[in-house]
Amino acid sequence: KAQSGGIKGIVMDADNEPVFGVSIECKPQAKNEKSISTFSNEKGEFSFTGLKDGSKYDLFFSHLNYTRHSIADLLIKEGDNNSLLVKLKAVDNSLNEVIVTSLGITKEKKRLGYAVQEVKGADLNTAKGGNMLSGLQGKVAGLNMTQVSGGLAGSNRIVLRGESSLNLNKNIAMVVVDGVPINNNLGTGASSDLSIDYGSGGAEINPDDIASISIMKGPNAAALYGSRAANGVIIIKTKRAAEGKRLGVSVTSNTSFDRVLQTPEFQNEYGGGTGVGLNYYSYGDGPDGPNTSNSGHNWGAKFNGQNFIQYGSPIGPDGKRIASPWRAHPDNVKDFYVTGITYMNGLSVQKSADVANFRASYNHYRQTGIMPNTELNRHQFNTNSTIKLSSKLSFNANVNYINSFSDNLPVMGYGGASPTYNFIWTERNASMDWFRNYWQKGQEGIKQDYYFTWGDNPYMTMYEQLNGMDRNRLFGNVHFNYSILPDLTLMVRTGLDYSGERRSSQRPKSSVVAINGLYRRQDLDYLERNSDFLLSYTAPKMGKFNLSASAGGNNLQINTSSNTVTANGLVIPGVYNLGNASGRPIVEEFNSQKIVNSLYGVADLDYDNTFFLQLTARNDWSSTLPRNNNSYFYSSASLSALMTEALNIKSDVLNYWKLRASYAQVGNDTDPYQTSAYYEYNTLPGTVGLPAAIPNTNLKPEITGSFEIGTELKLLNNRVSLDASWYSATSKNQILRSPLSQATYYGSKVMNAGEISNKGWEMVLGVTPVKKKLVWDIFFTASANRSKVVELADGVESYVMASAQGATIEARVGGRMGDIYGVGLLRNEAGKVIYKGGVPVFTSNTLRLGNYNPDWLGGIRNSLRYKDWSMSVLLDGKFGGKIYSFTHVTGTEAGSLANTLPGREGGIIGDGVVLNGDGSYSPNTERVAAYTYYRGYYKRPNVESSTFDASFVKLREVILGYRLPARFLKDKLVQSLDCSLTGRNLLLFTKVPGVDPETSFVSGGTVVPGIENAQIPSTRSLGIDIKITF
Amino acid sequence: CTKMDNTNPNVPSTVNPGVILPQVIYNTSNTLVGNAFELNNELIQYTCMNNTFTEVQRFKLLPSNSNGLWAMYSRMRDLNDIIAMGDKTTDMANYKAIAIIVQTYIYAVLTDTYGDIPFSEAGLGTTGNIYMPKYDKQEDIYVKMLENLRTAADMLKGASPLLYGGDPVYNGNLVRWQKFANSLRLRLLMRSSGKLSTAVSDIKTLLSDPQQYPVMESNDDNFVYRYSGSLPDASPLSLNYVRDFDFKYKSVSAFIVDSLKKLNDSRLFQYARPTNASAGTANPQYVGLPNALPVTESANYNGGYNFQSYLGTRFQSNTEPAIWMGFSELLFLKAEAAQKGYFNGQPKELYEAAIRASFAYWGAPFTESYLSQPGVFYDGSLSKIYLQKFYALFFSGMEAWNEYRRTGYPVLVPGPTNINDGKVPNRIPYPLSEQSLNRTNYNDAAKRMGNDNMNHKMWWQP
Repeated sequence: KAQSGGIKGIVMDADNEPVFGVSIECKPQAKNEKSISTFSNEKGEFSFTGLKDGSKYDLFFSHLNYTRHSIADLLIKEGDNNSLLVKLKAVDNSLNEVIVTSLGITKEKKRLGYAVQEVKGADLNTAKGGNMLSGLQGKVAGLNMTQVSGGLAGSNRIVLRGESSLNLNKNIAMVVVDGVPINNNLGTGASSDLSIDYGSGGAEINPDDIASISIMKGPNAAALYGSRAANGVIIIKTKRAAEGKRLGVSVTSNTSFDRVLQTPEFQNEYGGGTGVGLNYYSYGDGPDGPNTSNSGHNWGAKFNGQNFIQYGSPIGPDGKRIASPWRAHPDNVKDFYVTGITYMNGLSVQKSADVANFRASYNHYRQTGIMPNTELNRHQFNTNSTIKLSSKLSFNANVNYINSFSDNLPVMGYGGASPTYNFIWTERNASMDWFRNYWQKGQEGIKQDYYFTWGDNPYMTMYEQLNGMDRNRLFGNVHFNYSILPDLTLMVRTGLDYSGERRSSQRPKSSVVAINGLYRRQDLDYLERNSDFLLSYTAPKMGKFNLSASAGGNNLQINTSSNTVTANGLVIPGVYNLGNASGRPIVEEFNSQKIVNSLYGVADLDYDNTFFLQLTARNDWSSTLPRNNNSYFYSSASLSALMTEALNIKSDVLNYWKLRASYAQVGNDTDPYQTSAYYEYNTLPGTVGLPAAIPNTNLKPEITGSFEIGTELKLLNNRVSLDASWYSATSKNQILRSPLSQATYYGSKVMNAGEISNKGWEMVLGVTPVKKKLVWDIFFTASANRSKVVELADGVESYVMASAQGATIEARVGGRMGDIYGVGLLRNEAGKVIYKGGVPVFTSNTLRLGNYNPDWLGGIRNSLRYKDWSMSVLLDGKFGGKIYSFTHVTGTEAGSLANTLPGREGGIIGDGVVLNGDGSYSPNTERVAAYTYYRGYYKRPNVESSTFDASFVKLREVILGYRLPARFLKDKLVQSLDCSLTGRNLLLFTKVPGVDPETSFVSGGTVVPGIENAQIPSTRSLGIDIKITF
Repeated sequence: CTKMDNTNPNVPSTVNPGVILPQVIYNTSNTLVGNAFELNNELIQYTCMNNTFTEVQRFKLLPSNSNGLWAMYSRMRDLNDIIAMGDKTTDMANYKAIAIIVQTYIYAVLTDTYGDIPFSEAGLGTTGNIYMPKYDKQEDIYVKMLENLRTAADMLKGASPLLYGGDPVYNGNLVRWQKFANSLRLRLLMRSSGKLSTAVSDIKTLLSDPQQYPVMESNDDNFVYRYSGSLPDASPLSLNYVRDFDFKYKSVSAFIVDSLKKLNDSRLFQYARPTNASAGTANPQYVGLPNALPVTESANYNGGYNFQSYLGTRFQSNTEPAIWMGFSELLFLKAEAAQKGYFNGQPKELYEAAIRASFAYWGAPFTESYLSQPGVFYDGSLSKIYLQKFYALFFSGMEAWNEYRRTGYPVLVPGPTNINDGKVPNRIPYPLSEQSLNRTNYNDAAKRMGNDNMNHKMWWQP
């Protein structure tokens, strides 16, 4: 009779603390018997019962953070308690940590001679936003992100290690998914309208599909990815099926609620009026006096409970308005915004078998914005699957299909069709309820009802001026791996990123920007194809030397196409079809193609697994450069030394010490069609003209050289880890449009010019102060960068990189990249502001008013884990740096903001001096009315008065998580259940009045940091996230 | 893989002048109307801002006021291109002549605004590698402009028709182009007649031989660009481009309103619209706003905005033409020349014909009795000619300001808040971009222009 026995035991770590959640498999040596498995509980205990007496079993212990442990040949004896004490050894991350590098190749981190930081998918997929890449903020040293606060889509501009190109868009980090580049360009609306954020490429990836993101901060990846990697690369690795043969199913559900984080601080003591001596208000002529001209200013009468005729006043039987109480509507702007809701629901299935593994996922994303009637939807499909066709040949396919669509995305910025603009100019006595019915009676669809003639009723904007979008995107790659010989493998791959997008804009009749109505259709196609091969060889060991080398080639093709058809004027109101155009629609078309062919090689040499040298070389042939200059070569070398090994240090204090150094060069080409002269279509249909830029038939490639050194340390039994880098880069021969005097008849000349020098440091510090039942990890990142303009073209002292609302972002020789220029306050030698007529005098030339780049930036994350509970709190901030707020300029001019209250009664004497007839200065004593003072002091185009210290700290992310204990999951159907409460952007600490310093100006596909232009407010979100695996 | 090709498939690399010329004229017209609206009308008291957004009416002229004007240089790029085509092919010589005329017109606007400007070295970026052109003296530019106009008019004599069309003003009528060239030459000769020794005899020659030198003979010969009205080909001040409330930041000046009222001049109803309060009533009121009042006073003037007149509604229509030069101006020039004895003509007849032509152009009802009232009746004084010319030059680019600086008429009284000691500025400062992109040459020229001072006189000013 076979009697049954059992095994029980306890699993501990090196500190004799029990380990929870260890997967233990008990495998009988006898055939025909099934293995069984269990998990350790929170006391580290486990047990197996019903085992056969006298039989032998093998036990396997596995856990993510510990090395796999096994006990073989365990003989079960009845009566013995078979009690085990199992000690697990923590995974020594320092030595075996692998990281995804170029072309999707994983490498041990110790081998790398340059800075790479990895963020796990799990750190991105709990507190999710519309843009997966936003989750990197504060977590990566040297990463400077600028957000487009559009309320939806959340495009952002990611710059690694500062700016080195005079073209703002060229400073942006490259995004690569599973070894193949994807399009991360910003899609914003075109032509005369205000900007719309149509989302950027990287934003559309489902965060639940991401295994990890490696950020290569320097240009070392360029040998393998080409020129675009000069600004660093964000390398995304998507999930594959995990080991284990069971069918894995996971379900995620995330719901979050967005509210406005910050609105301008409005005053609520004075109502509409221009302040010029009128102490009454009248919408139209009335018994109080003639129409006070509704100008949107708030310099009018104090709210004293009196009655005035206002736009929203009740209408009497004679059809005339009856005076109604003159009072503030303090929440009239807040009342407009609604709670945005985001739903993300996903499902994934995976299975591994001997010859294949399969993973597929689907995610549905639906977001409604804080602006009424705005929304964004996405369907995201992904599969990443491999099949071994033979012992030598394997095939992998990674395919993503994403359909993004929206019936209405909001417009951003300063202009009559933007609600944020209208709010600046909304009278404080106005109620949002006055505007909800936005058509004039009997003129529905033809004439809007609003109390200004120069702005659109914000509700009409949201419900009638729709901006739709529908984008179908397919990206991914297929590749074959073939082992020609045991040491020689060949990889052949084709990767694609295609998107076809259709946008439409509709503006009803009586819109301020299109009084006769407008309908515009845009069709945009983008195709990027990378076809490459890589031959990899590992040489036989030569003493203590190891050598491996790869050589490959790539063909890159980028095709873009855009078609825009605009019908200016509609025949029948409310019908948005090009056939309904009242005149000939305006048609614009642009197609472009760019081809780059490349050959490259990489060699890795190590000595005794202690010193590692990597050499790379690449040659590109680009179609965008003149035939005689279109070939360019660049190379890199990097060295890594494990000092703990080299010096044979074995210490509990210094566990690991690595030094690294590297030098990399990158060549770069330009956009297509810069090298010969063409005509361009003029605004007047049917005509052409020469373009304003003189083309250059002798363009040369740009060249960037970058040097970096760094060190990695692990101290005190791995309780402390530090990774620090210093770098210095120089970019030369930049291809730019150098401005010319208009008297040359041209505006600019395409040329190679300019030198930017870029220096900085970055560090990542990890500390684990407590590692008991409670584990407390602190993770700290910090970085600083200075990019200086060393040289521009001959005779050019300034290069305007961007401009808006009177401010320019200029590169000036000797200046810093990101300098903001504008007209400022004129001061005497003593630094006092010079006044004339009670208001400041402005400078006649533009001044440097600051720099939009922070002096340094950083983030600090505290993670706590206790039993089944976890909590993480991320704070991040930028320090130094300036922002010019146009909301502040105009809000002050309008008298809408609270900062315009002092001096309303009795006037103001400005703090400054006046110029006397004899050339001396005496204090300003002229008292002027508040409206004169504020409209003078903050008057456009004076940029200085509304430029603020953009430093801020944000409570970026809070996650409170609970994992259902294993004891509740006895039926084994559910493997795990995680539930989290999440918060993003909960608190903002800044000196900038009324706007989020993270917002930026967006224009024609370019995010311009440093300028705030009546943007849609940023949001704070609270949500709940549930993950279940089966 | 596909061919490594960098040929732009979207746009042509060779074209004929017929697809270039219309946009040059269209774009220049837009600038002329814009300059009239923003600068000329404010300086010369046709209009004044009724709020504080701009300071032109107070004579606070900044380099930024030059941005639109100076950008006219970029129109020369396409004109140069047409000239180069004409040099290459004889059957495009007629286009070349037209391009020279248009180019000279633009240069005249530029030099009359600034004085010395880049001229002989301008536009030599692609052919001569000159990226920082020197500034020529206004006197030298005038000599060259007059010569160019004469050459261009000669080239058009008996020229073959325009092969590729593209003439939105005269629809290929080359005689009219000749007339325009000669009329423009008369304008420039008259302007320089006080300084240029050959000017008076040139005027005599020009006006004594209509066979050889035809000038405008009716309003049909006017050089005006008529917008089709179909977007984007619409007046730059129309509601499509300038929002109604921006347009209404300007009131019509009291000076012109009161002057026209006094003469019962029906052009008033074209130039201005009734006040809001009186519009549509039996007794529409036309009230001008005095220039450069303190803000408070201007907002409250005559009881507020509702009781002030804005510019005439025609200027907000899609099809209001852009005036380059009209027949009535030509007649005023002739009247002046006759009065001064530069040629053998009847000043009174010319003066009266000029007034009739102006009324006809503006579509204002005219009765002969207008001419006999004391304020109009021709008494042989130049001031009458100058004053009537001022009324006629409404919205004609910068011409009214040019004439004011030459003749001193009309006698303007700048408003109380003007910051130039009651003097109408003589020039506008160069744009800031020249200070950074063409600094050495800018500095030289600025020195000659009284440190880029707005009170520095034009060479041709008395």
